[in-house]
Amino acid sequence: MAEAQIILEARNLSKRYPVKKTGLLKRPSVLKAVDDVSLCLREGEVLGIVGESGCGKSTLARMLAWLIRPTSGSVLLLGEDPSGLSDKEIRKLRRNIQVIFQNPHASLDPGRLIRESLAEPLQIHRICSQEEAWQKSRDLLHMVGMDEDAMDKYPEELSGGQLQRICIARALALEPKILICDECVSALDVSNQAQVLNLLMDLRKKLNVSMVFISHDLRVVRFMSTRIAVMYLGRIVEEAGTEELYLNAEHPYTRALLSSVPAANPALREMRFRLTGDIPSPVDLPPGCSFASRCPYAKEECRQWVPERLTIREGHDTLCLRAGEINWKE
Amino acid sequence: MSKNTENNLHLQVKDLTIGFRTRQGEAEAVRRISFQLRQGEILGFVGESGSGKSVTCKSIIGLLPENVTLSGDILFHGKNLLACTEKEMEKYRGRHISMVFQEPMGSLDPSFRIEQLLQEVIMVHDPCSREEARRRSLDMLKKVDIADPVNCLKRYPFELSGGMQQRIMIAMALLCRPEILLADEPTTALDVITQGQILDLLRRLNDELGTSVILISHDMGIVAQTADRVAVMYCGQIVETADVQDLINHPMHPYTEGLLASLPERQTGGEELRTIPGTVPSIYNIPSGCTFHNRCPYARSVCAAEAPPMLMHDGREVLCWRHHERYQNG
Amino acid sequence: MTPKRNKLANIVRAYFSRPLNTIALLCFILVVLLCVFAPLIVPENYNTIHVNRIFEKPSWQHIFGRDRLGRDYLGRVLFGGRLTLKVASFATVIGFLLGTAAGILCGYFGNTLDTVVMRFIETLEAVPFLLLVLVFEIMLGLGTGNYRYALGVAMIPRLTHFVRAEVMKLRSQEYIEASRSIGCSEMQIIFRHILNNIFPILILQLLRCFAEAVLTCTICGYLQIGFTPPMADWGTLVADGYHVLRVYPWISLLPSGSVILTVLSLNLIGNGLHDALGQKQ
Repeated sequence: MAEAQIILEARNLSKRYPVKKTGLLKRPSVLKAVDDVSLCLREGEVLGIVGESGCGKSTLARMLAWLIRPTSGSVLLLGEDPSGLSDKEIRKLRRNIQVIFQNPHASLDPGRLIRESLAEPLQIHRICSQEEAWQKSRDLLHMVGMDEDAMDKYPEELSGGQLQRICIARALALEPKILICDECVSALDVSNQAQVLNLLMDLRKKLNVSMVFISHDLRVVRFMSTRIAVMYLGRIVEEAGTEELYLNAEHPYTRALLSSVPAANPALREMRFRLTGDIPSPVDLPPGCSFASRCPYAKEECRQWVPERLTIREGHDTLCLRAGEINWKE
Repeated sequence: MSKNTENNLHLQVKDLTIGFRTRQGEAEAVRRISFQLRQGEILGFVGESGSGKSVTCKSIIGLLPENVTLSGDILFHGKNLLACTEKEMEKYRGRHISMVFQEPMGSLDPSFRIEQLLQEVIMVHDPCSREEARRRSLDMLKKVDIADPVNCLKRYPFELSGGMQQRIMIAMALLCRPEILLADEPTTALDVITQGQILDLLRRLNDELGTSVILISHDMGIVAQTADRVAVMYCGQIVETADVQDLINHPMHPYTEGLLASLPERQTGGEELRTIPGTVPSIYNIPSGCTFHNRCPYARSVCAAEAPPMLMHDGREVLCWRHHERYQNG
Repeated sequence: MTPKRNKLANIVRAYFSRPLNTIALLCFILVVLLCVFAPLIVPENYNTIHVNRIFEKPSWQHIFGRDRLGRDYLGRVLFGGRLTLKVASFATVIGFLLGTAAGILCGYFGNTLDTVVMRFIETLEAVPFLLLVLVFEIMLGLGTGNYRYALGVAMIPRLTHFVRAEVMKLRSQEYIEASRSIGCSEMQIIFRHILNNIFPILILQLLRCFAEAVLTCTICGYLQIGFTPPMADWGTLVADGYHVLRVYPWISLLPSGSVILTVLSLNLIGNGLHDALGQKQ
């Protein structure tokens, strides 16, 4: 298979936030929301990013869409680095990358009709006349499987599942090449969730958009993605193709995550690998592997050295000093 | 079937109907549901938001707001809780029946230390010396897997992580060894790994202490891996009750079937998820006949015309015409 | 539920569903109309002195009677109201425009601008409102012209603070971020989304500010700050009648009653609008 073109790339992205501390003489601490993350998205691919809350996945998503600026590192969007561009050029470049957010009720302006929200991207970029904009919004609504009568409603009159469809339609209005879905089905009920997931899959095939699909729910990520990156405390600890990750996860955190997924199917519940303790605060992390404090396999050197990214197999990277050493069958 | 004798029944709910008076008029959130909770079992309630599962749970412990009308019986060891006065209910709450909520942070008073919170529960129901109360609190904290219970007693709720808070909630609920624990979406606010820990904990405490548990969740996976028996709720009715394995392997009600099929856990990329078409009807506008007929792939004319009676067969209960007829025909 | 398109019609309907709201609005309109058309209503020039007819009791020709210089008191009160309302509305417009603009800029852009402006504004807020008006007035120089500027400027800090808080609440909403991701510029976001959504709150603030301005204006008049005779606003009139309150009570009661009527009806309108807007959401 010929390698598809890389359309979105992150190089050593980091985002640090200073944390105010009470007390006069304490020096300000640093919260590393995202720490030295590199990834790339190829055309037609769905890259899943999975991790617990606070692991920095949302910050990463916003940096990829250039909604917030990284502290260091760079983003290459269609080969261009937006950091050197003017605001106007950035807005133009941003047409290619759209974000769908978690809460559909908050993602649409409550004071505007659906038709206005849908047509807004077209108006802002002055793509077409008012008439064409209405027509196009109507087409978009049909595309996401909704009736036209939703056009003249306010967001408060629609259900979460319907609103999420509209958010998707709106994001697609500019015909982006990349769609970033940030927990976009987490707020929905099971049956709505399945409908929206199907819709996204369907649109992806039809329109050939590439996606970055972010969720805390491994089941959803697995369903959507062709490749999955697992994040823990601001770092990508493992990245592999979906099946490879499920079958041969090498990082203990991935293993724990996989075995914690609630599964209706008892066959998926065989391996029990539970962690003790909680995710530590990302403020002022100790040196060494950030997972060492909870890792049952941690050795002395794990607490001293930050592991290097290691390619174990073709397309399977992990961030663990003991990668390949641990016998998971035990 | 000897397990089902009256002595083993902790809780018997018969024909429970819960109505709300609101500005939009009267609506019934729960309509004539009946179920039993047997000693030592975990009964799971699954349903989408608005299905009435949470309201049912609150009605058992008498925590519904003023504008609610209740009818039917909730029998706890033969005593009808719905007929109890507020004073009498206070005696049951915490002592015999206790509850764990979805948001642990909102449920713990932030101005008290954990020790004071735990002591208060003991003192209300079972006054004893301070040393005795402290000993019991420590015991209970150990039971809920808190690593450093002595230190934990000194802390305030907001100093603890979500998982820890939920453990404290469970500890508080179980301090007086109630017969029944109501857990309303106890892990929804938590991360996957913590969720796994808490579910394991519930399971273990249920084994160790023999407390019966009602576990409410919107996630079939969570219920399936924790509960012994499952009741599926749709639109204020229990549409199916069965042992967990039976339910998952051979769902009888089309809604259960749809819920299971729309879980993204079995398929991986490529395959479409099976979804339930349409959305959950509003409780102000409940369909005639079988409430599910307008979304049901098997619906026939009788389904829209007449509500199906509950079919009890082989330890399972199902509310569907399809099975009714099949059963009658042998 | 039938979808209701016209939001404005909904709000209007909700507002007039309560009789008290209607009464309040009518009262306010009446006061304003009377003051605006005062020249057509009054029986004689309000400055004409009739030495022989001082403190004449209200009669059919002069329904408010005459004051200590024998001037027609209806004219005094209506022209006083004209002056009060003029000053108050001028001040409100100034304070409102500047305060809202500052609030939106601080709330939306934050950072250094916000820090600097807000510290300054917090300092000003520590000074009681009336005192602040006086300070500004002294700084600008006494006189009717400057007085209205002083009143307007004094209103800025509280409005800025309030609007800033509202904008900050909106700024963190996902739809603001969503519109940024579809390519809205900052100005487009402010005008399309922020202003649109705080508009109802702004209207309520406008009413509140106006009521406050009328009240403050009256207080200043009472303290004899701002206007020079024979100009008189409601506050001056109240002060005039104070010494003869026992004997000729209407001299004080009529202008103070007008102030109460105006402020009360403004507050009731604000309250009614608040509820009407709330029902929509």
